[in-house]
Amino acid sequence: MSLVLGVLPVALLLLGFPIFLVLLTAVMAALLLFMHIPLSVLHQTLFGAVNAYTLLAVPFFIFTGELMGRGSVAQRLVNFVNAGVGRIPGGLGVTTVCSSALFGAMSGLSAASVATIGRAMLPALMKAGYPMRFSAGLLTSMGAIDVVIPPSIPLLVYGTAAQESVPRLYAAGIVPALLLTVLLCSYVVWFCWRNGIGGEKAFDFGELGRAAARGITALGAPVIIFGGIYGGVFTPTEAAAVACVYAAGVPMLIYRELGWRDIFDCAQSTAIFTGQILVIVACAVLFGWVLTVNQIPSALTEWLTGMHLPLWSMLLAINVLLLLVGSFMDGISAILLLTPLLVPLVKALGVDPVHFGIIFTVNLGIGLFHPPFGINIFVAQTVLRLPLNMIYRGIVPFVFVYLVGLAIITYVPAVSLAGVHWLIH
Amino acid sequence: MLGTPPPQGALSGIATLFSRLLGAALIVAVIVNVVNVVARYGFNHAITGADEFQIYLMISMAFLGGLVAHIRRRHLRMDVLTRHFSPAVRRVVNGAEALLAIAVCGLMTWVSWTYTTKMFRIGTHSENAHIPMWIPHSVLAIAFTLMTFVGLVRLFTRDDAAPTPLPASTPGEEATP
Repeated sequence: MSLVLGVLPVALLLLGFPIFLVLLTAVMAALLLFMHIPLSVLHQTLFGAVNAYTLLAVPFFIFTGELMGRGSVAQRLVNFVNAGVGRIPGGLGVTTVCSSALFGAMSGLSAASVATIGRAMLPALMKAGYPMRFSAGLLTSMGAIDVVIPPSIPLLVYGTAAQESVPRLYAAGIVPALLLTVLLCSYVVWFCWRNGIGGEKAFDFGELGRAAARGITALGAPVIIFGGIYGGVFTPTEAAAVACVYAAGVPMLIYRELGWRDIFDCAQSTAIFTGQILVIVACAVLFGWVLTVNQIPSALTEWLTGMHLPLWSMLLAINVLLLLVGSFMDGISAILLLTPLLVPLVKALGVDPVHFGIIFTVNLGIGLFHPPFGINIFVAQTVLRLPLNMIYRGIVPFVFVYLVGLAIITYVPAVSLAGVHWLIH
Repeated sequence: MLGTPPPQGALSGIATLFSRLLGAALIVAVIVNVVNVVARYGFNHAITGADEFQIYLMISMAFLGGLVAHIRRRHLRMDVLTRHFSPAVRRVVNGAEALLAIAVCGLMTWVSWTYTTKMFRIGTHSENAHIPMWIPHSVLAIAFTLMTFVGLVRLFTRDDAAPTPLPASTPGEEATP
């Protein structure tokens, strides 16, 4: 059985087979060779796995991000943030980080943020004299905040896989996302102060007012999402749908930049992206069911807790595992594969699964830009035309900044749980 | 279509057709959801079965969108080693992948059609929207049937193509048919 559910999937993954096919193959082999259960369970479980209203938020939030990625929404955000930054060292770098975080709060898509904000900021950073290596590292790494900040798609998927409340997870993501933003901004300011970069322009209330007026409508999406969910007006799925209409309506009716054709194009690419994700969700639920029926998670938990290691070393080991997995595998797939194994373990260790969800997504966020194979590296390379060796070298200090954030988030649960206490209780 | 062999042309056409249908389905799902919210708050009346209808549209996106991703080689995978494969090795691995897809998706095709026809015979309907349940269940059967067909086409054509690494929603990158 361990060959079929352990060695076989790993071998197929390494050969680059599609993840859904790897999971289905392992499940079918286990069913046919060992379990002797009617095969109709395959169809029932695959169908049942995606027959969930909460999951509807996935395509809706992706659609919002797609729509926000077109037109001038990103540029308006950048102008608004930049007007508020004023004459501090590394002002443009700080603008980049904060704009990316704001874009993430509207879309929940990390790669889209790197591409969209990156395209808006790269020429400005180059013109202001920021070193190419620093800019490459900054633009590639900034999107990792977006997988933690609500409405994060990975958190939504984790909520489904771990059967945790999505509003609680979103509330838990706010403070860690702010922490990571502050840490990144602090590093940018320190680097620019040391190298005499920045202080580009003085703070001007008039300019801030004008930028706010131009960008205020773009900032409506996060207000709808957070206000709607935590004001008790919408469920996360409804908030996502209303945000879609807003994200289509503002550029279409107010900015007059999008046409029906653009909206339909966005809908098509969203539907395909949804297919990429949800077909793995379905197969991972099936795989998780096979693991559970064979009592593998509980055996693993028993074995690891039997080692009587202190909590800090268990969390350290889990972080190392997640960083490694995140460097080689798409974050959502990793969440779906590992949640059934890890959540029972951390629960047995006394870690709140909501707190663990944040640890999980921060790790996978780092994996998004971590050499050698983080997806945002390839986004920066192909969309921003940044050289790969420059990205690899530029990323190093940002990895350390995120690791500091990860350590704080891992060992200070209050950072993650503060938002839950404020917003939910 | 000049220079594109007929099976690949057919696959590309299927991908385009489903891509458009699913794009329209997504827009319909958003509209139904928002209309339901407005009806609930504005008129104190919720649309019966709206949630079920949207979920079935999403199930279509999951499996038929998965089919389009399969045709366009957009499925998420770990490509740590395969990036470094020579065309000859890649051809062998692609052939093995096609064989596995035929076996696994072929078995799923049989299981799903069996289940769907059973639903049709029993005549089950969804609880609120009263949609015949064989319709949403048939989505899996159709998707796996066509995925098996994709595997067969790839097995019998010279196939050393590399998968596309970026997700479908990365701005600035068009999906490759």
